[in-house]
Amino acid sequence: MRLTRRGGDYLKASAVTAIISTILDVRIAIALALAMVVAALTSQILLATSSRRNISMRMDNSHVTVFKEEQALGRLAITSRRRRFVSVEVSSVEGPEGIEVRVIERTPDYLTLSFVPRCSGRFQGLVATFVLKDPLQLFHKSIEFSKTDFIIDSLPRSLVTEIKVARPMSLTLGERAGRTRGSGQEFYAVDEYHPETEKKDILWKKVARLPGDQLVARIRESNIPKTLRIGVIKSPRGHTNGANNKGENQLLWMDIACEGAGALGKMLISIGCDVELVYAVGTDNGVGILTSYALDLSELSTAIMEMSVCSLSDSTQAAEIILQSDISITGMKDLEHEPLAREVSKKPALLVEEAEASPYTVGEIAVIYSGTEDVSRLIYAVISR
Amino acid sequence: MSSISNVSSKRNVVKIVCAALTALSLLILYLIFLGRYVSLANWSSLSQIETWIFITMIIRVIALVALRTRYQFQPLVPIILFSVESLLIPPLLGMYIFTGYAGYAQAMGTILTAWLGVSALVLSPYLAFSFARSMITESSLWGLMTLSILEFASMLFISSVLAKTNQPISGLTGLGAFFVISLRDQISNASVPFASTGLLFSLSALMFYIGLLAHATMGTREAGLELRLHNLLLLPLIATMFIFMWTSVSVAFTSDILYILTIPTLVLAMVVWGVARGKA
Repeated sequence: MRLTRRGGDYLKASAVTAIISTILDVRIAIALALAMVVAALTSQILLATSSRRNISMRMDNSHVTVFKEEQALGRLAITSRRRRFVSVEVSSVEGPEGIEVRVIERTPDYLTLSFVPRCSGRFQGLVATFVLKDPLQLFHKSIEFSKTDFIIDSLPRSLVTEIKVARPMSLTLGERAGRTRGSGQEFYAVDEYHPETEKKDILWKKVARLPGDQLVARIRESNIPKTLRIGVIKSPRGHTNGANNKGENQLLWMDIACEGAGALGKMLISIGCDVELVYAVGTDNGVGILTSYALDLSELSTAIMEMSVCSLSDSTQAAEIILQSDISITGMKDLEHEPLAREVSKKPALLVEEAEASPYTVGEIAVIYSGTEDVSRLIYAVISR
Repeated sequence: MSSISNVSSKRNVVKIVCAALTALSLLILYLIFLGRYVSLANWSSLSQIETWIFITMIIRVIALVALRTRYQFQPLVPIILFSVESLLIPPLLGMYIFTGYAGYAQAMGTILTAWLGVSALVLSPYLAFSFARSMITESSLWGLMTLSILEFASMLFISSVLAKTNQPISGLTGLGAFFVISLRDQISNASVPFASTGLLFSLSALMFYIGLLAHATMGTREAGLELRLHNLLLLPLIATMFIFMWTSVSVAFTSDILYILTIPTLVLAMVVWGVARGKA
């Protein structure tokens, strides 16, 4: 508990009144000084007995979803059982790092807050500092409340960015029709014969019925895999060493990783594949590997948000994630670790661009990604394997 | 926004009411003094110096009140304006020392006592009004409280000493001289200077107490948005009830005001300050 400026003035006034009145023997003024001090003491007791048990805060919506750099509004309701005597004011509201929180509207009962995430990913927690003042405003004390169940999902912009879909042209493997010409078993179309077309596909009966000497052939449909897996590897080496501004770097890393996963996932879904994100996650029994499945963009955004809170993977888990995935997402600094760099280089990889990184090796099919690069090369490489 | 402006306007009303109540308490004392002076004063032998000081003082008060609505004056300006007479004393004293002419000494005495009398008569209501005004505008409580005690003490002094006398007072110099003699007697006798009884005195003291306590507790609060004034009123009420109980219990042990009121006030103030760790 601290004295306010008015509190200091008030107590000084009481003491000065008591002293001068005693010298001049103005009894009513001495009584006035005592009354002022007694009122101050009562007021102080009222504030001292007010604690966090008398105050509660509640967010109207405890899970906010918004695209990166867009504004989401939330209402923070404040309840105080001592409101008749103790004024409660929110002095500051802080969101997790990476979220800009501003107070839009302030009433005694609630605050309207605006959340603007700078990076994509899942952010959790909200800390509000309340300033309690006694009825006479002579004292104040601060109480900090944290709301750990408040979640802000900041979706990557790549989910709404227009992309050029890289449709595979010639495929042999896959469980699902690719809706383009390819080398599958299913009939796709009839077209003029080309030298690269297999002879067994020439439709001789149709050719015979044609007036000219034109050759027509059956075009087979391409096949694509039913599901493609994107593995996200966050190694301890790349995320605990060196960086001065670790929190900010982590946010940027995850932002780019989310954007990359969004771009890859959106492209795969538009081709017709299902997407699975594979990553390490902390559980009660340590770190395990988890997969999030997405059939459409809505599920993809949820999967990316779940992925964004992934844990660091040790070398065994990283190897397992790479083994399970078709495309890897990892950072340039993660590749400074030789075994991991070797494993990652064997498959197509989206590498999060990081300053001052000197990777041991980078695979041939890799895109160094800063959030805007075209990732269709990776898709093409995976599907046409 | 409307709730903030409502609270703010309510607070202003409280300030105005407190100021009016305190000014009224001072005016009651002034009216006691005025009534008593009118009945005792002998105006027949009014000298020219007294008349001039009286008239010019009225003109100075009117001018200052009129100009104050238009201009902002330094606090020193009214002090100099109302004590021009005292500035005449040093030259008169110099003349008296150089020439040894008794007329200068007499003029000094007349000017000084007439000035005291005129000030009590003309300046007192102006000072009461000025104090009430500062209750509305002043933000420092301790400065205001100091001023209020001095204001109330001086008003109580002029009214109580006059209430106790029955001897006629000769004009304005007589009034000034009477104040000087009363003050000297009370200092030399070491008696309680301003202790007065009487219904009007008690009424004035009560109004002064209520006005200033309400002002200190409610009037100078900053915008405490959601607290209602009737809830706030509880605190001065509790404090007053406590004082009644405390004084009625403690008089059984001692009648010394120092022990009953002053020391508890200072000790409690220290305790409150100490608990709040003195951080202003």
